[in-house]
Amino acid sequence: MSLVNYVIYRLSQAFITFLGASLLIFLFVRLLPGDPARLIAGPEALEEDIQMIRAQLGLDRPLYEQFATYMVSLLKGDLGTSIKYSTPVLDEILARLPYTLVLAFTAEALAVAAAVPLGILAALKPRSLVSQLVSVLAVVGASLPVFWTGLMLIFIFSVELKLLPSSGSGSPKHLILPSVTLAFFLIGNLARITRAAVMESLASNHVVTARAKGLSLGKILTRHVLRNSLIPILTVASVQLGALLGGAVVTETVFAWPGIGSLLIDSLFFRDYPLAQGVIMFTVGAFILINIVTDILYALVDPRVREVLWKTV
Amino acid sequence: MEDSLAWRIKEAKKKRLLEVWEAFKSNRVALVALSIIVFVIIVTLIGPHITPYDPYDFDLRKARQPPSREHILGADELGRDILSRLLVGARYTVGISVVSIAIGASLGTLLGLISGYKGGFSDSLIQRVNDVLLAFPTILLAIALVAFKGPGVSSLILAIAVSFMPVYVRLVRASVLQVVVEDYIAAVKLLGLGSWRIMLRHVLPNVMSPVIVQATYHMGLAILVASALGFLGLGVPPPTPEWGSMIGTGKVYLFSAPHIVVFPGLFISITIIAFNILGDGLRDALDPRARALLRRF
Repeated sequence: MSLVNYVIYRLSQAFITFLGASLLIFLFVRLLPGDPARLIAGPEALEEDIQMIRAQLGLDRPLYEQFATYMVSLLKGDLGTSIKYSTPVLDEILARLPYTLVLAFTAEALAVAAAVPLGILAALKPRSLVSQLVSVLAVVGASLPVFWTGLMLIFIFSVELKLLPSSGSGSPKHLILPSVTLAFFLIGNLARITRAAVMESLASNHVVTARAKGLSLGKILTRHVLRNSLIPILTVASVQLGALLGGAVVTETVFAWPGIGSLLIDSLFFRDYPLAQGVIMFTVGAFILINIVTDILYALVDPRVREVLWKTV
Repeated sequence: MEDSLAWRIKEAKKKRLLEVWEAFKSNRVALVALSIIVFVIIVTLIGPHITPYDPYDFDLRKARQPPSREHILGADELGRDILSRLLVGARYTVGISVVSIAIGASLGTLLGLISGYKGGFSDSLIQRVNDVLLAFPTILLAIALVAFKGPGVSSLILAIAVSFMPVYVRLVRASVLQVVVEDYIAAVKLLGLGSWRIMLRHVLPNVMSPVIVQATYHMGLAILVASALGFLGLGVPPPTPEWGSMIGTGKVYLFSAPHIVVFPGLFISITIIAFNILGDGLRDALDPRARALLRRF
């Protein structure tokens, strides 16, 4: 199977998954106990108001008709109109998206910049302090809730030291605390993967040969070890990045960072349910797309992966 | 002859358990983690009976009081005793996570078993639905479910159980596919046992180790998700002292009374760390080869 066919195959598969996800979200809203019209109207609303909202959202029509309308507009790129802002949901999302992208990429870049050197050092000296630090970070970093580490960082750097702003997005300085918070969550796992990959590669035959030839450690690392360790590191980093786009909800809320994560939470509190549904759909679509791009990139980078992937197709 | 065979199988099982325990015991950090978890579970069970104060009893004169001899962990924004609230809150944060993972792991295991053993149409159907669920980032799926179902303990349990279930479907299906080609499965098939009996008695026990380890990791992650939802105000509504919502409502006072936020965070963090270390310990003790299959995330 050629690369083009593979890309087409993956995209069509992703499209089916995306349709499934839209159906699921559609059903969440309609079939779960709890009435979205009642939720939007609020606890003190009159029965007539609820009926009106129901009619406005089309919730009084039969389920299959609702789904058809929903899918047709979704495929046209129309995610509906926000109740709170009275603007198209897609515009609202696109306005907030750059903030989420900046935060996610900065956090991931910070994590990679710290974790890869740590992992390499730990792999070169498996019994050293650095290696133990990697083990501890791998457990602790991923265990501390980001909303708590975020608040602790605010307390130290904004309240006590008065060095950095605690929330908002006015200047590059505002980016520091939220991205460090997220990076701290990611570093441990990434460093552990790097250590494992580098150790495995150091023990492989071609590296042993290169050592026996008397090649310097620096050359062995850059030419032979890192190139082979890159794949698992990239895998984890891209999975993390994908999760950040949808999972930075909590961090964005802590720091009042105006990305799509905090947009989702805001929309939930304003019972702006078309907006909430739109943000969730958008994020799931982005998540699916990133996973495919990652897979296709592997196929381009690594001939071994390419063979395995194409055979399974 | 029958007796002696049954007896030998029983002895072998006992020996295997003992071996696992021996391997686990040699890992001192994991033992510490296990004792922390036993302690947390005891608190979850008896918490409301050992509180020094009523966790709901507010006294505005004591609002935001720092830790003192009277209130060891201080008082919160309404003057309620933080230690008492944390002891009762375990019931929500830890209790909800335990129940959710139990439900999610059992359902996922059952579906994975059917998917892997039966194959065919049921396999395709389960896998397609599972792919869709896996297309959601975990916390987003939980948020979506909670948001559309409304706040409360049962929606939280549903949300977390459904968000974690797909991982078990995938994990168990993969393990089942490895097990069904073994000779002993061919043997019980030849004996003419029904497929449900083979699945539950002969396949299931052999795919349980990775499920147990994954569920241990997921306990930590479920606590993370449950407390995050509480923090966001989407979890159990106030005044229930869920650990995450204690941080969520206390964060406004970070400047004047940081202890309101610090102590619940420490409880959450230590519990999650303990579950993650226990998961590592169990993984190594149960089957060092399973490492590749299992991820903490």
